[in-house]
Amino acid sequence: MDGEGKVEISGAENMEDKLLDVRDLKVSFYSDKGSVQVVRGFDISMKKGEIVGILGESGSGKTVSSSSIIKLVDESLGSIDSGEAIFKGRDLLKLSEKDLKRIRGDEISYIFQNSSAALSPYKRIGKQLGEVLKTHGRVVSKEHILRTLEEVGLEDGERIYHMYPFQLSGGQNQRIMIAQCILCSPELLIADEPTSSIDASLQKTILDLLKDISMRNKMSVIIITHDFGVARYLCDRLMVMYAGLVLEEGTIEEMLNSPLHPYTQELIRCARSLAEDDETMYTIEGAPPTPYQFRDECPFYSRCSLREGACREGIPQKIDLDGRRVRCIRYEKR
Amino acid sequence: MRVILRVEKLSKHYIIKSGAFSKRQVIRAVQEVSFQLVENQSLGLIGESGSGKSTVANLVLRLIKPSGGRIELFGEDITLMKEEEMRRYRNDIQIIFQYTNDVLDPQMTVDELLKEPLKIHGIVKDGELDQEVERLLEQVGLSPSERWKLPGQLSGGQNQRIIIARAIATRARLIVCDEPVSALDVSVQGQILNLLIRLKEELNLSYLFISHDIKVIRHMCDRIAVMKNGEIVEMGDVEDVLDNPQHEYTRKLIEAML
Repeated sequence: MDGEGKVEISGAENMEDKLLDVRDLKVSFYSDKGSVQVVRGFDISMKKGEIVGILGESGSGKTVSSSSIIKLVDESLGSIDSGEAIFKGRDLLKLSEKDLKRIRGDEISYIFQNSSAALSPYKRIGKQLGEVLKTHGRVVSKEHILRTLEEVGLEDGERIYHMYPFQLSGGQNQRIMIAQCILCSPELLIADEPTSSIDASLQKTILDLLKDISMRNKMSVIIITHDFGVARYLCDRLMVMYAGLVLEEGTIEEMLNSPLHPYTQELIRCARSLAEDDETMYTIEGAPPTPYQFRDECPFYSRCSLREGACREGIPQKIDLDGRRVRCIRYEKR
Repeated sequence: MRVILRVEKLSKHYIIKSGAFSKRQVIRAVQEVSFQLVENQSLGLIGESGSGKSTVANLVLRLIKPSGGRIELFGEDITLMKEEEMRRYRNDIQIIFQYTNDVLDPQMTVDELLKEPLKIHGIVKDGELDQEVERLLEQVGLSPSERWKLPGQLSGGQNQRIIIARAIATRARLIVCDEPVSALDVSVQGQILNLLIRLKEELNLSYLFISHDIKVIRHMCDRIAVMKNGEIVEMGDVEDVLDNPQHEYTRKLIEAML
């Protein structure tokens, strides 16, 4: 590995720049077979203005872990077993629901995967956006709403202000969702597959918009995706999740150009195979374990071509390599 | 080459009224679309949501009635065929849906899910059902042990294989694939694409392949039709169209690719 050439600033991190620090987050869901842990170790550290991607297969725990940061997991369905989420000096996981309500949508916003369901079909756009401001005790100003609509690239704000969601296109509604999320100038935006429900032709525009707002407002963004293209286009840093664990983390260049974990390496080979239109697609045989199949071993063991006996001796530790982190025993010896 | 499907000036219009006193509005979901599909060929349909891709699929499957135009399946006009008559063709033309949690009945075992189409279409004798299920499982790359499981106990990729097995169970010759891999992850996408290509050759299938992913269409299809606002704006060999797009919208789609 070419680790020595890179002098990462992560060691000398400026404390003032740090916005969020999540450590050792574990989340379980209740089921008829008892409680199942679906997130078994999630850590994320974010600086102001940084865009971090969480990449993983469906069921890898990316949505559950990031929504747990602001305790969006329904208490009747699951519970946070351990961990802390320090946001500007406060542990979000210890806050009361009342305090959290003040933070959600104000300091931290969340764009849901199925965002079209997040707008009320009965209310005009202007009214809906006004309610967000009202809920967070801010002045309901039409000027501010129109300015925000302009900021998300909706030129005809004055007209849209009086319209209903069904009168607008999918792309316009997605922009309104983003407008709703940035209305209170959040410091952190969590976007769960923000482009999966919109057209391929619009995807880039929406990603550009997020990038632009992040830069202008120094807003940090966590973006959840299963698409390498989205991650490469948008992110500064990337985390790869698998079976409820973060298996690897690094800058986007490091992750794409010199992935360390066998899973990341294989995943990139798969994506490249499709991009280069190989005769036969390169695949990783088998499927990821479901939470019921989680064991105390490397979750990628059964599919890994580099596996060895020691991989089954417990979940591999997180190893820190010059600011990169990887959960694989092959790097333990170094 | 034998023409499997011929579609001529096919249209579907919906009439909506938003309120009791509002004017009638006509939504032209599909407008005078023409194409044909020959044996063992795949035609990709690409375009933004709302462009009419799925409406075309539903029309071809005769799940909805066309407002105009003509559909010929194996040389026979099925445009306005009655459902009783249409039933003769139902086994020939099948659909593979995008995998979501609600495509397969969560209470049915894999065994039951595969026997259902076999029984409905009377594909094999009752005494041969078990053997046929085993054969289908093998054909889509599932192990015999998955047979007694429920969809909830299987991964997304495995469920997608079940959906595919149900489509080929009826000896279909034309399969509409509606975003068959878009809900799957990169590591599983390739497995399913490889399977679809293998089955196409083994069973001499034709695909009408709907996807928003240009990379997937390029890999899977011989020809491509680009749809926008209910119309086909460009159509041709997949390489020609993607490497040398003529329509502005096709160019926009290619540029937007990440």
